[in-house]
Amino acid sequence: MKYLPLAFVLFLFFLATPAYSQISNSDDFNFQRAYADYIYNFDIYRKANIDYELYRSQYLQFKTLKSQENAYNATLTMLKARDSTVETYLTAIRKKLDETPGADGAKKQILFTKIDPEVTWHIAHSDSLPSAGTLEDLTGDSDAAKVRFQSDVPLFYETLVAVSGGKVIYAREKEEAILTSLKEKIAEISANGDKNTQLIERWILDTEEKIVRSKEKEAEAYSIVAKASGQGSLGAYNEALIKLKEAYQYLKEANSFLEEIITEVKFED
Amino acid sequence: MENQMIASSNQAVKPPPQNFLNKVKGVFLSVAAKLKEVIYYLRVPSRGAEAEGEVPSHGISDRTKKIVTGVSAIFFLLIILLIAASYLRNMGEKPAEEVKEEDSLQTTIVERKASRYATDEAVLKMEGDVKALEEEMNKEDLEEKSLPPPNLNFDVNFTE
Repeated sequence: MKYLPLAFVLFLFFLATPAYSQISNSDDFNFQRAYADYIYNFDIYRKANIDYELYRSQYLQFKTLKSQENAYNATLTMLKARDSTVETYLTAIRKKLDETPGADGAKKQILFTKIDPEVTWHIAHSDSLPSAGTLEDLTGDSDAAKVRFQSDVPLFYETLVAVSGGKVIYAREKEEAILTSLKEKIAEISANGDKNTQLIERWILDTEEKIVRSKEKEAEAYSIVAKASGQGSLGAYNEALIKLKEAYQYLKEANSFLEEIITEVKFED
Repeated sequence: MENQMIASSNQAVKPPPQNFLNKVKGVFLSVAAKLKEVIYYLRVPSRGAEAEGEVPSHGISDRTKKIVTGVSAIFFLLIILLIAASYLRNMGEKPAEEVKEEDSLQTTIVERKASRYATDEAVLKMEGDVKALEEEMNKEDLEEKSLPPPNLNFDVNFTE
């Protein structure tokens, strides 16, 4: 009976431990969180842009000091919201790439070194926007952001292609691992002499060929995106995506071949 | 006499085609003559009756009527026989094919026996991995539809 309070305290401790870890995990900044931030900031930007359009037209109509002040404040809010939108978008695609299983490690690092300075630039740009000044000052600041955003567009698409490519690599690596195990098993069957493995070995070659063709399509996709710049980025992205879909289709076919080979192994000649 | 003997022995072995053709020709000519006669009676019943020497009440002699009825009966019988023969032939062929297919399917299923690797742990693991990957691949969308670059307004100016 005297140990009852101690047992109760221990019980509470064990209950509290998982709760603490859950809180700790929920604090981790992941893609879901980054994406939610982006959507939130994009929503704020949309409202700010509506206000900017309204006060801009009022200023152009009345040209009063009050309408000028209102236009200045609305534009400042819009420019800040726009910078935050670009910053959170870059962070979201960075997190997406980071969390995509299969995304090439070296390629990831190269893209991160391109994304991170852009995030920093947009934060700095937002902080540098003057709380008081002229409308012309804001126009100049906006133009600077416009140039930066246009130069960022190819980076956006390059990152998105890397994300899609990561999914292809993930499936391919899994297939290659299964294929390696299967080849080992077939070598074992051949050594035991339980079954004629000639047909299966030929099918293995067919499967390997599908994987090789998938790799070729993948390489074509990366080459298309690497060559793209500025205005042609969207077209290049779509073209690269088609190549990656073709690569994925080859992998699906290879997977179906693997299934057939395993079925063949499970039956006698 | 000798010549006649030779001729008769030749006929027994192989009748001369000329005679056969002549006979066929004769049959056709007689049928044609009869048909002409029928047409003649139909067109000019009184003259046909005069030629026969009899005057039937309806203008066509009984003999002609019998020939026409006989010919048309044979004609219709032949058509019916042809239809019946083709129908029976079709009926006889189809079921035979179906039975063949069933037989081949059954033999495929019966002949395949599970190998000793059907229950092998490594093989079953590979099979599970392949199926799981197939499901994953079918669900996965390569395109990041939720992350297109934002459409932003960069047209900031205060001139009309």
